[in-house]
Amino acid sequence: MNQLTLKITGSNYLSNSVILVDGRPIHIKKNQFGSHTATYKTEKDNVNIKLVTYLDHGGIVWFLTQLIFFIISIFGIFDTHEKVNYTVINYEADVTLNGETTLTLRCYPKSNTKPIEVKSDDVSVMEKENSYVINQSAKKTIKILLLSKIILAIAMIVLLVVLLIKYLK
Amino acid sequence: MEQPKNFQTPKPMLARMQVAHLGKITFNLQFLALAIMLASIVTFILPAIYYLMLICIAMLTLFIAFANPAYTKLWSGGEHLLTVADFLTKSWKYTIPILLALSVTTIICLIFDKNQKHVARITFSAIFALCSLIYLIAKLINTGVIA
Repeated sequence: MNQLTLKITGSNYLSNSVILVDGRPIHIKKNQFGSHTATYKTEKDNVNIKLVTYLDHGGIVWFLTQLIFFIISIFGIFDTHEKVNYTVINYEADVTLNGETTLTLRCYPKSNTKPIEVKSDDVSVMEKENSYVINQSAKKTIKILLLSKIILAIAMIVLLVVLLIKYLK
Repeated sequence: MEQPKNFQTPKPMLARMQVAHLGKITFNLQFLALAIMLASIVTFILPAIYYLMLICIAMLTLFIAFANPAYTKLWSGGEHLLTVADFLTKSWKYTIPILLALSVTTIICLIFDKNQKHVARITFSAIFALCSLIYLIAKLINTGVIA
C-alpha cells in the first residue's frame, strides 16, 4: 500500500480551500508550526491532487445574508472575524507514489505567477494547473458590505435610542 | 496569467459556507446565553457579594468619613440588585430554550460542513445542550411541572 503525506505551508491564503485526492476531499490537520498536514493511503501508484479555493463572495442573496448575519451576531460582535481572502487558487497535479511519499505544497501567491510551489523527494509531479487570481469584484463588494454594515449599525442605534426615549417618557 | 476555472464560487458551495458561517455565529452566541443562564443559577450570590463588598468599604471609610450621608445612599444599590436578581431568577424560561435552540442550530449547521471539521465546536455545543437540558428538567421538577 502506498501512502501520501501532504504538507501545506502558507495556509493563510488557503481559507475556504478544499483539497481533493482522487476527487475526494481529505481531512487536513493543523500542526504545532501552523502548517497543515494530511495523509492518504491508496493501492494506486498514481493519484490526482486538486486544490481549489472558494471565496466567501456571491450575488445579492449572499449580500443580504451577510447583513442578516451582522444583525444576528449583534452588530458583528459575535461574528467569526476571519480574515477576508480575495485570492482564488487553482492547483491540479498527478503524483506518482513510491511507498511512503511526502509532498510539500508551499502556498505563496504573491511570489510569482505560480501560487503553489511543490517540494518533493524523488517523486514525479505532473502539474496540470497552477494559477491564481485576485478577485477585484469581491474586493469591491466587501467594501460596499462594510459601508452597509456601518450604516445599518448607525440606523439601529438611532432607532434604539428613539424607542428608549419614547419608552422613558 | 491563466484565469482559474472557478472564478465564481459555485452556489451549493457558497450556501454550505453560509450555513457553516451561521453555525459559527450561533456557537459564539451560545456563550452569551450560557452566561445569562449561569447568572440565573448563581443569582442568589450576587446580593450577598454586593453587601459583603459594601461592609468592607464601610469598615474602611468609617474612620475616614464618619457620618457622611453619601455613604448611606450606597445601600440602596442592593435593592436594585435584588430586582436584577429576581429578573435573572425568572429568566430561565427564556435563556434555556434559547441556549438549547442555539446549540441544536450550531450542531446541525456544522455537522454537514463537508469542507471543514468542527469537532471542538460540535462537542462544546453538545455539552451546552446537555447542561441546559439538565437545568431545564431540574427547574421543571422544582416548579412542580414534572412530578
